[in-house]
Amino acid sequence: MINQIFVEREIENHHRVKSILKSFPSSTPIYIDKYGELFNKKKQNFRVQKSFPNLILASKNGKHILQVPKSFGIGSSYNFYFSHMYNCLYDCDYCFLQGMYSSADFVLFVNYDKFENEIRQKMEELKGESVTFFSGYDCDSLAFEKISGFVEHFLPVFEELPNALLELRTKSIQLQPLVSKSPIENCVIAYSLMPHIIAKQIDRKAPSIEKRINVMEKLSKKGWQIGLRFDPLIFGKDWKAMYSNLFSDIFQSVPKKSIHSFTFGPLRFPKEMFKSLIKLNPESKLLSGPLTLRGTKMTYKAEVEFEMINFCTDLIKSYAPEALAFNCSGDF
Amino acid sequence: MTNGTICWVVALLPEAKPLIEKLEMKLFPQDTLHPIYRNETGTDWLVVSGIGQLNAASGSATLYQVCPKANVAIWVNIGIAGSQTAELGELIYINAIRKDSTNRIFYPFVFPNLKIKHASLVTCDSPQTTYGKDYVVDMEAWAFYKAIYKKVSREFIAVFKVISDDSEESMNALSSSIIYHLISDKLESLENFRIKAQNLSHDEFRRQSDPEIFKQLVNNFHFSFTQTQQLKRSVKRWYILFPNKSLISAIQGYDSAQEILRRINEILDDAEVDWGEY
Repeated sequence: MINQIFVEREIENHHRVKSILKSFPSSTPIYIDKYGELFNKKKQNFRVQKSFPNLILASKNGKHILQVPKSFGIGSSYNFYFSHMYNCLYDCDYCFLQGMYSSADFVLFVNYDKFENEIRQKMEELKGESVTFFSGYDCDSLAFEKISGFVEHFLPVFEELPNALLELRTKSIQLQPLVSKSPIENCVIAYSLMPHIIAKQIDRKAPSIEKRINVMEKLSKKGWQIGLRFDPLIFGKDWKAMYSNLFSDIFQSVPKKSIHSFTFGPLRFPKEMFKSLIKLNPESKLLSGPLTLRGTKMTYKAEVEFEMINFCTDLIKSYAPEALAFNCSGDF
Repeated sequence: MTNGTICWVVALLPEAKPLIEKLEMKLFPQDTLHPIYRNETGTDWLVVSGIGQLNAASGSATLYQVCPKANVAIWVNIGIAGSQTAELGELIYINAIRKDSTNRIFYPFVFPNLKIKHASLVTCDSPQTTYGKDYVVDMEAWAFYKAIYKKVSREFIAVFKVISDDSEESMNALSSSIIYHLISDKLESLENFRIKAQNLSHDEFRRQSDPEIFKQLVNNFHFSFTQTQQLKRSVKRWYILFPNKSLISAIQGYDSAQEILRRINEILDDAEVDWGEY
């Protein structure tokens, strides 16, 4: 899975680097000054790297937590996101990371303590307020857990911060460390979902929807709160029947009381990013579909988008209270 | 093996000869600045650049101009190099290239699972008789990489070195025949690399190539530059969304570039993607 490992010299003795390198005994790391020497440089082929990704272990400097767009949230007064990793194991046709970075290599920032300090500091500043911290926008929060130990590190942190809510956004079926820990109230495991047949074609390398639903069921039985993220909504022949079946499958397995929230997001790409995605993946059915330029975004026609959101919102109301519906359509 | 292309950049004729023989290449019958060889099927091209960075850069540029699939080819610099720690005759897959007395480093892409030892390399301006402990030394790789990196992405560039010397004595003892055998003994080990490289180049060629019908339409109607770009994308979209529907039938009766483009886009914009049985 990992081609070569690069390590920033500054962190070569970091305990997390040492333990990660132990997981790759046959790999000899290459030491570099900064991850930018390699990552996101011009003249890189994202598609080839996606097949043979390198792992770059780095230290994140500057700001570690960032504000999300105003329209984005799942019920808290304040919302931030943080990225301990750039890029993802999966290869989804609509993923904005392919348009954002020229590299598909994984950059893992091992200095979790810096993220932790900023989160604690922010909670101190916003004392008494409810705050959500979103993880999983520049990577999948759980897919790399065996190597990163990210969730293992951050669950105890959030356990000490009851006013903070952690959203782990994922397509992974990784159960550890969640099943071996007692659930904490202020953590939502949010699954990206779409109809089975579509996911099979555009969520490349990601676990099937059936498997994701199985894992949601297991975690809900254990007491974890589940988020349902239908983002993006995908249009096509028979879409109504496909989404009806999807909701039915989900709610047959996941009890209503375990649902923390659900969100619907339209398919949208900034115009320039869309051009890059087409170049990278000219044979994508999704990107070849009837998308149109609305303002600065390539998206479905307004009437299609509204019809999909209205239909899905109405339909899901028969399974879960409307109060759990939130808007996560803001662009990062 | 599919029909991808590999462009070999080699400093000396004795280094090149084993490749020329194995891949059945012949001298390319054109007056070029550096001698160029190619095989009959055009899957392998080779330039004998001469020693040193200037020659490596110039040889690479010459081959780039001559090879018709240069932009989708895998570019390989192979040759002899010095090292204090690697064994004489050992094949090394270079994973980092630095120019002597600078801090700039290139990190070439390395195919996984080739079972070839990796090492970093320093390119020097003159032959070296003292060697670093953890890198190999040559006189071309930096300039080769720098020249080609401007033309293709890093995943399409590779550097291999065979260790030929570890001291002044061993360097002085190098003859054409020794160099020939050093390279020729390692060609078998490069076979897996060649297969992967050919496949990668072929995939890239396919990704960049245009459907036949696009070429026909452009030849038969007058499309402006912008319309040509739009048509290229629209034709590709057509074959993805309607793999079994004839494009020619859909545009029958439309006899100007503008009308054809409008008709194709009308159909595409109303298309409902068929995701298959659910």
